[in-house]
Amino acid sequence: MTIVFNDPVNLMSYVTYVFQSYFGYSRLKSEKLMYEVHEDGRSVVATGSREQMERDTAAMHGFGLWAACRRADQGDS
Amino acid sequence: MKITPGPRGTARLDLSSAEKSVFVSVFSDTAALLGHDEGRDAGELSEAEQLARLVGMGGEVERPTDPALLRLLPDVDPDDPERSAEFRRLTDLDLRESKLANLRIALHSLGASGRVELDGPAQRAWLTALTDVRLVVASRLGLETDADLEDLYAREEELPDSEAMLVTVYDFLTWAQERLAGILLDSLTPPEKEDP
Repeated sequence: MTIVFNDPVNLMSYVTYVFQSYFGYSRLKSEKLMYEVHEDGRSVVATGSREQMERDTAAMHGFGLWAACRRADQGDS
Repeated sequence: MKITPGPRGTARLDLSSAEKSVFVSVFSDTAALLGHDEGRDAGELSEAEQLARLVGMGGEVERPTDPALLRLLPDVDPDDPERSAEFRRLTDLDLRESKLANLRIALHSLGASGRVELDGPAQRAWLTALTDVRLVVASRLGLETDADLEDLYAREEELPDSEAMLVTVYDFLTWAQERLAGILLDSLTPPEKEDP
């Protein structure tokens, strides 16, 4: 899975824009995930094959979001 | 500085020459940080070296020691150094290149005299370039958590000049990014057309 972590730099509007434009999520879903990152410190933004999750994590790094790729059985902490 | 939506999904930046200089300076600094970490540009590698890197045969790629650069080029899994090193070997060049491409687009648009007009792709490049330069400035200011940021603003009056200047630049960049992100977000699916 691909996890995005909170940081003090990324703006709520920008994070929403990234989730909406990269993953193709709706505005509502993008905002929900953004608030999870902001308030809980992290959010699982995508799940799938290892290759896909690595691609997604690299894409998040491209956008400057603080993201990591974990196996689902490793947990998200 | 004024950042306003223009016709056909464009954004208009009305900047003083001093404001333009600030943007040019921070975009150039971050490009230098990304481009010269190993003492040379990716563009200066021989064709064989570039090809070797593209197919992941470029040998070890060093994990950045500068915290600002490491924030731009993070580990794919901080709990797994081996996997992160392997992933870095495969993706480091592409990630640097995509960031450098955004910075170059932003710098190019600042070359225009007078008003800067950004089409959709240029706005997206600007937004991500602004994120990267803000990450670098934040790292130089030691900002790792929301609490660090609050603490910094609480101490704002007592900061030494050099740090106070960086905070001013950071606030300026944040304001610009907030404006641009708002304009771009409005041009994506309007909320009223949202699926439930």
